[in-house]
Amino acid sequence: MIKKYNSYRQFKLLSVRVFLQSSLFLFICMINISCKKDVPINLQEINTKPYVLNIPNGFPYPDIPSDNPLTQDKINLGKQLFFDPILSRDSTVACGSCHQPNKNFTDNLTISVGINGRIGTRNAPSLMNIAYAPYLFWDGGNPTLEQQVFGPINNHNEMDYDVNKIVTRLLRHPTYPALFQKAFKEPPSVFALTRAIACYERILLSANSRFDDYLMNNDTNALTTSEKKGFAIFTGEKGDCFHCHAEYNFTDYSFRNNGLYSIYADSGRARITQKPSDYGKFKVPSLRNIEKTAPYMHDGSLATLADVVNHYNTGGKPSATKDFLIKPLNLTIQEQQDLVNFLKCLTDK
Amino acid sequence: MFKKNIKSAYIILAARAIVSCKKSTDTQPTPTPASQTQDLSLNMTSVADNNSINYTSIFTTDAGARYTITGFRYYVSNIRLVKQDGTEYPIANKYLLVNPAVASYDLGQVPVGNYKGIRFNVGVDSVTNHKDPTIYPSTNPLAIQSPGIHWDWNSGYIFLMFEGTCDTTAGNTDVLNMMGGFNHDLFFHIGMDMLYTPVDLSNSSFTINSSSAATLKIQANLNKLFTSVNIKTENESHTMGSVPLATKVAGNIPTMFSILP
Ligand code: HEC
Ligand code: HEC
Repeated sequence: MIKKYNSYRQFKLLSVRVFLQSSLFLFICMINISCKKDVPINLQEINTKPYVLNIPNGFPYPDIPSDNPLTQDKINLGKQLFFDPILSRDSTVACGSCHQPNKNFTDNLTISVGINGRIGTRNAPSLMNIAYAPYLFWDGGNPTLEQQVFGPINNHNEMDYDVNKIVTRLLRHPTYPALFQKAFKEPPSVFALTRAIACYERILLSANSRFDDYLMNNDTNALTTSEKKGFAIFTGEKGDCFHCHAEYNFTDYSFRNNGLYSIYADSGRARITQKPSDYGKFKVPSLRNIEKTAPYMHDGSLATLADVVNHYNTGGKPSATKDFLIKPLNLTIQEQQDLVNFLKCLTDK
Repeated sequence: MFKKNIKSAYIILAARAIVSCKKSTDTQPTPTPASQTQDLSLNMTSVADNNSINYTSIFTTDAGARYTITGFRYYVSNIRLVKQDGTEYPIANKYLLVNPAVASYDLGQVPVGNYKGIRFNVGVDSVTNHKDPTIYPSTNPLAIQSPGIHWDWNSGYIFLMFEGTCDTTAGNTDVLNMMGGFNHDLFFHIGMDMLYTPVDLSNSSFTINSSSAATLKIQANLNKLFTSVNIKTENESHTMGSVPLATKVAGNIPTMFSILP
């Protein structure tokens, strides 16, 4: 099993390199063409110079929407907006309040808290490697990082504001109009605001853990014996974790019921599809930097990694939609500890 | 899966466009001269039975339940004029966001003649429904509105948004609070592709002549939206999470509309 996983990644790596080069080439061509079309030469050099992501070893180049190529100016503007509470009704809460860089872009709260101390319904997920997510939110209800920006802005329990009013605020702001002009050659707008924030989110890449040294950089001493045993459980028949927590970002982005409850307060994917067969299914989360993002699960109901491993070891609570991979694992105390130790070696250095 | 659906929807749409082009050249070998068209606008009014609606009065459903209104807006699209021979003249790419505060909605130039009526859908077709709403200029009804009428948590438009309050007491004894409403919310946010609702008003003939701009008066009776909906108990739906109720309310949409003389 481990062999298969390794060789899969190696195969992946090869194809990824080719894909990466060709997509980069295409990407640069695209930008060149669009620049030539309608941008004066001097602006072209300043504003639309493509920002090329520094893709970690073994990762594919993420899809970048054609209407939002990365540029340094857009990224800078997006970063400033991401950490600016101007996006919330009473100017107290920023995106960065719930997605904090030093907490791997989470808030370490069970359930996130928005303006006026209002409590939401779900745990804030990490935004690292979010460029790879094919849909957003725990239930996958939102299709793009651009459109996702409305989510927290409109949400009564988060920023509780109105994107058109934010644009009005930005138009009156002493410095933002010039920054938008520089990045988009137009004044603040809903389009530009959402594009800038998405650009910033797409550069948040993470793949600098001891595990990456071990697997990708062939540093066999990067992991302890216990961590290596944990890796074997993770990828082997014993744990079977990697079926869902697969590949470079430890997720296959599928929707699964991992047996957290028999009756869910939050119906998960079924809220979007209305299909009873999607009841209690949530998007498989990445496990990178998992050590830093407690508490766990869509509702933050598990406090520690030991609790998570214990949950999987028991086989979870029965229900019609529980995934067949979730079953009692019969791990010894030591094996459970090995698995926890393995999860902790996914933390960036 | 979702992307594939959208793609195939595009293909179908493109195919339809081709087909409909052929049709119109078949039936009308000579193009309609410019003088034979006329400007048409819709005059959209909203009532609760015999009362025109406002945001201050108390209204009563046909079942005798009391309610107030704080918001009522809906999208109209896929507008088609029904010709005497039963064929349709489509008014392409027209999306209206109807709001009781605005009566008149311009549809542009249409051929003069006698029509059997009009058909349209309440809501937004599935292709447009899943497009990124930030691509439209702020004057376009499909752009992000204030207050919003687009779901960000299950991306798509709210086709029809009714918001207000209702008296849930058995004896109609609730008193209006400081905000001028009853003490229970009443809201229906109807959306999702499956509830894109056709409205057929092809039994009310009208004539568009070349001498003056035409106006077609369409009235929406809000009380019809509540037919067999007991608003004392069935009073909240975001569609998702309460699809049966949303489907029942959406099922009433076609009966709301009538053409006024
Ligand atoms: C009050 C806390 C809070 C604020 C403020 C907030 N978020 Fe979030 N964020 C959350 C929570 C909770 C979720 C999960 C929501 C869900 O799945 O329904 C989330 C989910 C996300 C996701 C999807 C992640 C995934 O894995 O699917 C992205 C992207 C995101 N937020 C970006 C932002 C941006 C950009 C802003 C600012 C415009 C922002 N957030 C503001 C709490 C917050
Ligand atoms: C059937 C697919 C599946 C398998 C197998 C699986 N998981 Fe998960 N995992 C999920 C899903 C889905 C969630 C999110 C569930 C939720 O929030 O309700 C999750 C959540 C987690 C989380 C919390 C992540 C966070 O950010 O909150 C951890 C840690 C985790 N899994 C570890 C493991 C380990 C260790 C194994 C193997 C013993 C494993 N998973 C096996 C699907 C799976």
